[in-house]
Amino acid sequence: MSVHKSMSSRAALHAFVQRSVLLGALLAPLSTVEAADPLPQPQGAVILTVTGAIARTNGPDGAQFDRQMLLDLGETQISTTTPWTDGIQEFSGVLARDVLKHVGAEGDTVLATALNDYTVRVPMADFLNNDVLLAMEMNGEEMQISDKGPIWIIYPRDDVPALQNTLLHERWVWQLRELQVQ
Amino acid sequence: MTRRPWISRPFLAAVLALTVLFTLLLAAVTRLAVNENRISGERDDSVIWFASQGQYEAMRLADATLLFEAGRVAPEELALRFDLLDSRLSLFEQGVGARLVEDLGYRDEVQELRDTFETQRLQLPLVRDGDPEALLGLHGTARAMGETMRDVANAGMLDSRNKDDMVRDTRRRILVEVLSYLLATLAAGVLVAFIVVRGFRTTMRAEAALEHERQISRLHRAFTSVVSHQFRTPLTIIDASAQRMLRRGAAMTQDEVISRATKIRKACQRLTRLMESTLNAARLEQGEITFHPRPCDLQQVVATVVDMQPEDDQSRIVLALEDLPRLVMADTALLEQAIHNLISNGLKYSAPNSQVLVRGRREANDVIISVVDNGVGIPADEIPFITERFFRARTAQGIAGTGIGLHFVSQIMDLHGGRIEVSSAEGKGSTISLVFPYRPAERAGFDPVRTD
Repeated sequence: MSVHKSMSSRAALHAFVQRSVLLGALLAPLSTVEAADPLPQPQGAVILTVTGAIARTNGPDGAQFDRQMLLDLGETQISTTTPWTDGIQEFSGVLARDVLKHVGAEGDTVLATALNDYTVRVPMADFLNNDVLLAMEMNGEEMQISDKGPIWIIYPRDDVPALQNTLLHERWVWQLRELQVQ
Repeated sequence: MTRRPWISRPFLAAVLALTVLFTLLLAAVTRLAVNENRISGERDDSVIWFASQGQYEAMRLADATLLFEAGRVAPEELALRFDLLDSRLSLFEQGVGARLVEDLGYRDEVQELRDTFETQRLQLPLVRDGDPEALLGLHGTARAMGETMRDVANAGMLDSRNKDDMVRDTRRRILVEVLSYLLATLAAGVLVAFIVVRGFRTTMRAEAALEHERQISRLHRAFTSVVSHQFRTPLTIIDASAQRMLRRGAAMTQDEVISRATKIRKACQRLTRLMESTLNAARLEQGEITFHPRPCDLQQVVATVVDMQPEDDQSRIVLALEDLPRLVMADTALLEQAIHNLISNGLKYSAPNSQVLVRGRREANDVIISVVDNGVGIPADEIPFITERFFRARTAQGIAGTGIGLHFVSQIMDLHGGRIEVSSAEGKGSTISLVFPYRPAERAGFDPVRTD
């Protein structure tokens, strides 16, 4: 039994190393450049924590961001409809891809957890291949917890027909609290 | 019967039925697709999920209220729980959540929840200050919201089950419908195929019958020309001899009279033979000749036939019948005809002084009677046709004959379950054999005198 266990965990480790090497190669230039200086400490309330396989942190819990730190990464707008709202909404926030690159994330899956502990597994490819937004404003107003704030993962649904898939709905995490890179 | 089955009424009806059935089938399948789409569209599952999440948040708010009262959680935690429940409630007020709740008939309840919730929001400062009344009120509201959420979840569950049942029933009904359409289509297809095949077969049969008629008419024309030609020769001889006798009158010598009369007699014999064989063929054709197998003495039959030949020719016939079985079951009269035909053919188609051998033997289960001549023979390419009616070989030209004899013989052999075998070399002679199954005659039933 123990032999079997060690075998399987070794195999898993091997697979993990392989994947990491692959993705590492992909992200290498960014991570090496930015790994040099650590992240600054958040000044305001922490609204997002990135943990797991990341190169840059600013504390024992991983990389913590306040609203301003996220905005400093560059704002992006997406206007799209969502299944949970009426009409077209103007979202503004930072690209998930930029945040993950900023902390030197290396992995192929991101576990997204909401304030109510709702957790869903999002493939890294979603963020790399699409302009997925970590939206903080809807229609020019800062999103409160009562309207799916402080962060809502927004897919550019109206622009990319392939994203208009009900199976993807579970990845539109609202009240996002944490991203764990695996 | 029409020659074009595809415009016959049943065919048109079947094609119409096929078209209608196909349309119905298409419609049923479309309805099935629509029915299945109802399943894969936005499911009630999401309302159940939303409602159960809402219930969970409501209960957590109720918990947090109690814990706050006990001083075990910070006011921020309580505010977070309040906001989270707010967001849960707002899910039912817009987008797909609002539509689903309206479908379930819970819009008013959601509106009431919102009103209660907003009233509670106004009480929040009191709650923060630890006002027992306000705390109790918040706790009660949270619990009430949780209960309503549970009701919504239950309603969604029931609705979902009903919808599933309905979809399943519809699906089953449509599938049965589709199945029956398919069966009916199959039946109509089989009917169409049947009509087409039957029409085709009728056409084929009509064509075959027509071809048969053409052949018979061709044969009759050939027969008429052969017979008229063959009859004309002896008639000419008779007429010429009679004219000569008239013209010479008493001046004729006795020898000359004998010679002329003999010519006339021979011509008459020839006419008789021609007539007989013609009549035989006609009678056989019309089914007037019937087959009566009886015990039959084959050697006797051959002897009788030899006796029937012209006396001049009898000396040319050589018999080799030692191996021929004596008594077999056969139709004596028909067999006589057959052997007679072969022997007279042998005599007719060979030189006046050459011999004709009649050989009889038994080989395994067959009786074989062969007539061998050294005459004109039959060209190899024509051997397959010699038993056909009115067929005459190239080598037979210039010799009187109708082309009926061997046809008649082959018919007789057919009646006996036998066949004709021919081997011949052009200019050297022919061997024509009757081959028929050996069926020994029972002694008891032997009656040498033919009774018919």
